[in-house]
Amino acid sequence: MAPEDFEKIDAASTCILCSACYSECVSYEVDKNFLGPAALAKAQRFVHDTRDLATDERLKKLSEYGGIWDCAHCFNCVQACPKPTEPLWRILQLRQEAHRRGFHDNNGWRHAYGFVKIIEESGWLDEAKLPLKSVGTLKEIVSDLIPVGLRMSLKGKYRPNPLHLLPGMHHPEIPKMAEVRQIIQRVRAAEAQPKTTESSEEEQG
Amino acid sequence: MANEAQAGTGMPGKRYAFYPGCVSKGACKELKRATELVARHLGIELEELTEAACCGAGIMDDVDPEMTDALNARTLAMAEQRGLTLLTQCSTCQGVLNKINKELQRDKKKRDRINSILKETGYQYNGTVEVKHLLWVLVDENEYGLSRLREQIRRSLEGLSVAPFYGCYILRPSDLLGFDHPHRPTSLDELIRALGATPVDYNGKSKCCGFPLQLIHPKNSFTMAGNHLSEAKSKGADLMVTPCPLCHLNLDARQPEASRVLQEQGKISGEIGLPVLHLPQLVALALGYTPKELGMRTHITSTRPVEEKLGV
Repeated sequence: MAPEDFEKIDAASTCILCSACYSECVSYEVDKNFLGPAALAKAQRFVHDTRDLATDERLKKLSEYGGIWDCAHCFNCVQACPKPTEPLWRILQLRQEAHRRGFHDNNGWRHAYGFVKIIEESGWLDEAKLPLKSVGTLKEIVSDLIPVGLRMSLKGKYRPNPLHLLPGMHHPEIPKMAEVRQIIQRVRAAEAQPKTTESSEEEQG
Repeated sequence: MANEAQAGTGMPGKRYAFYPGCVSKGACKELKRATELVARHLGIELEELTEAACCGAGIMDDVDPEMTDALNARTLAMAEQRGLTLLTQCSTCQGVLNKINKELQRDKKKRDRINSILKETGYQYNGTVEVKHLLWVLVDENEYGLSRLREQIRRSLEGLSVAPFYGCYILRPSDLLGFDHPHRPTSLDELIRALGATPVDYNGKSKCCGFPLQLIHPKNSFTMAGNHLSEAKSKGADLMVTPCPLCHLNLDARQPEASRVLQEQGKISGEIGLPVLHLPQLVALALGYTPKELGMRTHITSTRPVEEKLGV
């Protein structure tokens, strides 16, 4: 194993299974089906191990209910961890890998990817559009999003322009959006370049 | 609006590069309004960074860390060009900006790489900016400070029991922020006390509001919000206050769902019914502004009980 490959799993490998992260985990507190911080950190240790051949199989399971997208991002595990494991950062690495390898059929990925697409359009978050991009079923729109949208609109708290939600439309851009587009183009160009030191991590879709 | 005419005393005249954050221009416009009223009243000058992009809210880096770093570096560079501290009114914006700021300050290789992405925009970030939340500015005696704030109070909030909801991003990871204790914080409690009110202690105050899971796992999200609201209410809170508009959206706009989930779990019978204020709304009430001026009537959970108790 090359030293630079080991670097990717070095932090997760330091876990001493003390479970301090479970004591602090807010998602595990309300849902015992959540795999939890240390287990997910361990998963990252295998997903990014170049000797391991079950990467896609693992990421598929990890993208299901109870996996990487059920973390609430509260930083309690980072705070509690006595070693460099710091599970939240490992969970982020898993989300990024799941994105690269095409495990996209879940609200967690749709939410994150939808967020990026909105920022690419206008530079700032469209809070009416993001929920629609995040959920996967009409039932969620009808039973959850429409009630809260109506509630906020009736109170005068938030009244988005419905025209902005139509395909190809978006809310007003931030001033100097051209600069944001330049940055995004540069980032995308860098991503498209073949990686020399990270060839073992080539994406599959 | 009579109160606005009385503004502008006891000022240190400090100027900040103001990063309002997307939510305060969308679903929580009342937050920006309250921050601007408080700042004007106290003589804190805000230079809004209208051209700054979204910080990514801790979500964008799930799929696109490089874009998140580059857009935030551009924002930091805007404050650096002005020679100003970057001020946020959102815990999440603060957390994201502070994390990236510390990484860019500590890691020159990364800074060079991000600066090469920024090159065509004319911005370069050299790592000299500080990022502060409004709460820290109000509490820290080196910034505005509570002793100055106490002198400005026109309507003491005496008699009000206020549950501070800190949430996550303003506390953790503490090695990146370092302002308050990650689990036993005091800054918001001190602010509540300075305004004349009584802080309510409860377990949930430094936990997650559930917002990040709202669209991913609603039941878990609303259980978290409901647990904290219900616990604060059972400890005698008249209202909750938060320095984060994302927490506010889950605790206030989603309180009907939080009540329903807790009812299904057999924890409560009726509605929770706990008003939730943004941090600057609470401060502005003590400075003499009216609930209507502060947009409190647009909140989903009625703030009338608080207004009646205060007699406003």
